[in-house]
Amino acid sequence: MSRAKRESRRRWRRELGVVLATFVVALIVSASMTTWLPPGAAELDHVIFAVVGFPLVWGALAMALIGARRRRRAWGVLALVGVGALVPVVGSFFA
Amino acid sequence: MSKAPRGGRRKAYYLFHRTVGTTTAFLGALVFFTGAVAVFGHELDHWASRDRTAPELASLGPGVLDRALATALAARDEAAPDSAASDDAADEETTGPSALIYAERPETLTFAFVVPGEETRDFVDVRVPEAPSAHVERATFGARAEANPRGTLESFFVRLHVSLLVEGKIGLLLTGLIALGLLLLLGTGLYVHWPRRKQLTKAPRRGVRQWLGDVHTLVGVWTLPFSFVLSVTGAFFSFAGAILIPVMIVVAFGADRARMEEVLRGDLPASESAAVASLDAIVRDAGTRAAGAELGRLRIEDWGGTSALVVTEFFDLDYSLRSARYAYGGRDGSFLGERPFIGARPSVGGTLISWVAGLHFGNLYGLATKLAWMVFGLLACLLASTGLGLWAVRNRRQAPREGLFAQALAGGTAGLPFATGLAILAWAAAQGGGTKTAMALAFFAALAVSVVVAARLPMRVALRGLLAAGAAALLAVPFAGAAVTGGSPFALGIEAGRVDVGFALLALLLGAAALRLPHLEGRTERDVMSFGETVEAAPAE
Repeated sequence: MSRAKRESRRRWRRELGVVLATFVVALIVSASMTTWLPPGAAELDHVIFAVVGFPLVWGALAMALIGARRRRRAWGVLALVGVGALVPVVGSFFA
Repeated sequence: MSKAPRGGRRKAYYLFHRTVGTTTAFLGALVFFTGAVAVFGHELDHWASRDRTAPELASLGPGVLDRALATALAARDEAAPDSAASDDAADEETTGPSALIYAERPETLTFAFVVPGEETRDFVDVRVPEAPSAHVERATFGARAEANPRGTLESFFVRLHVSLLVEGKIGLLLTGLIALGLLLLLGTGLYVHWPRRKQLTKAPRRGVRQWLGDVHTLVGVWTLPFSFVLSVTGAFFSFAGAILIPVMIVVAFGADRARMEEVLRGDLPASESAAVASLDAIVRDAGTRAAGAELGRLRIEDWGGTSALVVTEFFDLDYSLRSARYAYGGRDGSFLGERPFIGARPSVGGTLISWVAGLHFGNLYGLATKLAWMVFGLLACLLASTGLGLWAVRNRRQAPREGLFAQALAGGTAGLPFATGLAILAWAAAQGGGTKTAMALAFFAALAVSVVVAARLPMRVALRGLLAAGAAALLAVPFAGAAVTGGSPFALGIEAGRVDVGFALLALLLGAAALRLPHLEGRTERDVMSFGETVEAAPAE
């Protein structure tokens, strides 16, 4: 396999990894938003803001990760954000 | 510690833009194009049924609604006693049937009674104004729509736009991922092609490569807010049903779906009077409250029960953000209040959803925004087409296979008007039955032909031919519509005539574009594209 082809394949894998990882983290962040956003008068604001905000959260995370100068640190921050957002989600099951 | 790719952030964004562009641009263009058609889906169905005008709910005449309801209830109780029994078997406070009431066929009111625990409904068609008898059938909304070949145009283009005709959540996930891809393309594209002020007003240069690059940047920047809003709201609509709502039910409502539905539906307190309200009186009162709006349908809940409710839903085509759903007590007909778009009472979230819907469907301020949305949607297709064309031209020598692939996809985007026109012609030809299949076959066959033509012929020749074919197909559509309905095309006095004019204008536009294309040839300038940046081209010959 030529060097260019190997590089192209590696890039594809990396880019797919970025898309999937940011998707999962954005999903966790959106789910956690329902636990700390105020529900509002109709008791649905927290859900609506979380659902509408999902593409924006994903876009911001993906842009930050793709353009990061220190890639490993960026992945670390992404993992921290995911774990941090997961805490209130897990907590909501025991509340 | 690993470093970013050589060339820094700009190169990283460029490489991502390229990868995402080649994988999503074609499908993105397909979604944008069908969305641009779906903006006028309601008008398309009116166009297709111009000879079969359904009665207007708000002007049925005194006593007609009440008489029709009585006939429908009697017919449904006789034909579907199991549903009637289950109404009585429900809990103590709910003893009556629930139904949607609307008009979509000539001289007919349709009552779609809820069958508890099932997706199907008991549809009762009552002829008005006499309401002498009724026809009852148990079916799903989809099966009913399929049985009416005239009414399949809007649903075909909407389903193509929403799920690419893939059934279930997979289709929604697919279009959601496309929307996310487009969002990423916008972000990375803006960073890579960051335009100077001069570029935003400069006419595109001649020469295939220059023209494609200039138009791509120009259209990309000027339509950026629109494409951004459409990508975000589109991702919201796709992922909400496919994945987000199920997750939110678990996290925010403790997996209690009934509780969430209750919050979203927003039940209002009902009257405790023992009488049964008059639907005619309720419609008259609602009509005065929603002056200027079109009464789309009525909903009755627990009819005759202790918490009977009537909700009037106005489809105000000119201004969708105005809440126009009024609730009335089903026993005494008392006005209970205005219902917001979503939820029991007005809220920030409800307003946000109204805006998201209005911004996505383009019906914020009537015809003007719908036209603007259609134009922006078509420009977004041009953005995808020029991006793929640019990629094809750049790779012609270095990576011929990739270049050919991008060229074929660019041809596919240029073939979208042809595919649309052919699908509508297939709809006209298949009025005897199977319109949905005929339209899908015609649409995808036309797209396949476009892709093959673009791959086998020089790009300019292929584009010219595909645009001309699109113009011819769209020009034939008004005549096909007239043949189906038995009228004459371009009858300007009616709404259908204006739709005909729209098709003709689109055809003229495509024809003009096909004729203009030869001006792009003959300039082989030696410009070099380096990570999206245009280096000044050598002087033309």
